[in-house]
Amino acid sequence: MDVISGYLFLSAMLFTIGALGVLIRKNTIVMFMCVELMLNAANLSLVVLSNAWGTNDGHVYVFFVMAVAAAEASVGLAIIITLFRNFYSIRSGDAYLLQG
Amino acid sequence: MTAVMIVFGILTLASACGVVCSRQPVHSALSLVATLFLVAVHFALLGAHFVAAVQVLVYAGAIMVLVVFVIMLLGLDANVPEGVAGWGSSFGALLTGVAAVVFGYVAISGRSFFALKEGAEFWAVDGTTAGIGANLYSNHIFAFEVTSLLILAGIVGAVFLGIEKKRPLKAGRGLKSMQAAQKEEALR
Repeated sequence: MDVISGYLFLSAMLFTIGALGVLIRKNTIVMFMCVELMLNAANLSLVVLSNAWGTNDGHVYVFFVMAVAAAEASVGLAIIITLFRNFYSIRSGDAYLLQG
Repeated sequence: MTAVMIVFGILTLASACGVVCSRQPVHSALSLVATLFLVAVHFALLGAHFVAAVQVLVYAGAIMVLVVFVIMLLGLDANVPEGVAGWGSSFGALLTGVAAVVFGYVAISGRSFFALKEGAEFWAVDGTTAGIGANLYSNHIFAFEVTSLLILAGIVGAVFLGIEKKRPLKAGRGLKSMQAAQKEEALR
């Protein structure tokens, strides 16, 4: 297995593990961390494919993805804190009402 | 594929499994920090030096501090069970298994499909800060400016969500009413 295939495989497995965590865990903080895992898997494949094409455009995209992840972290964690404040729980199944 | 890459790849997958499988959120967070550092090692091995440094600074430095801080702030009791895994979780696991097979097949066979070569130019990509900066501030300057708008929106959203609402919540719900109920219980 060469470097490109190996790293694409590693990226695919990391993404799958993150998706598994989002689907089967009920703790919203753990779900959030699994989303970060999926973003990292996408970053890894971006860097490998960028190298395969011989440019550093993919490295720049990874920079943008990290900026999006930082914004997502600030808003997502604020949402989790609001959830805890309103329901005294951060289990995803406990917030099932849309009314305020 | 050198031995270093294979060893660090296996370590990365193991710590990623630790994120999903840990009972306590703090253990998940520590596993995620390990995973982020190991992915940074992969970036460095691939010659993406700037990305590796930013990965450690932004992810392991800033985002994980926020996550650990929230875990500490909420003081979550690890003994609270997450609930029995229902048919939804089983269906999710099944779906992810299928996705793993498809993604793995595409990853291994996709290289020849897209005619990607791993020649000298694979290792000659300029991943230093100078190279990334030259590309970022010439070809991607508009996206860079839009990113500042995105970060601003994130800050405003976080502050808005963090404001304590004056409006009282409905009886029986919310942290305050829960605490009041607990106080009444203790007095009795």
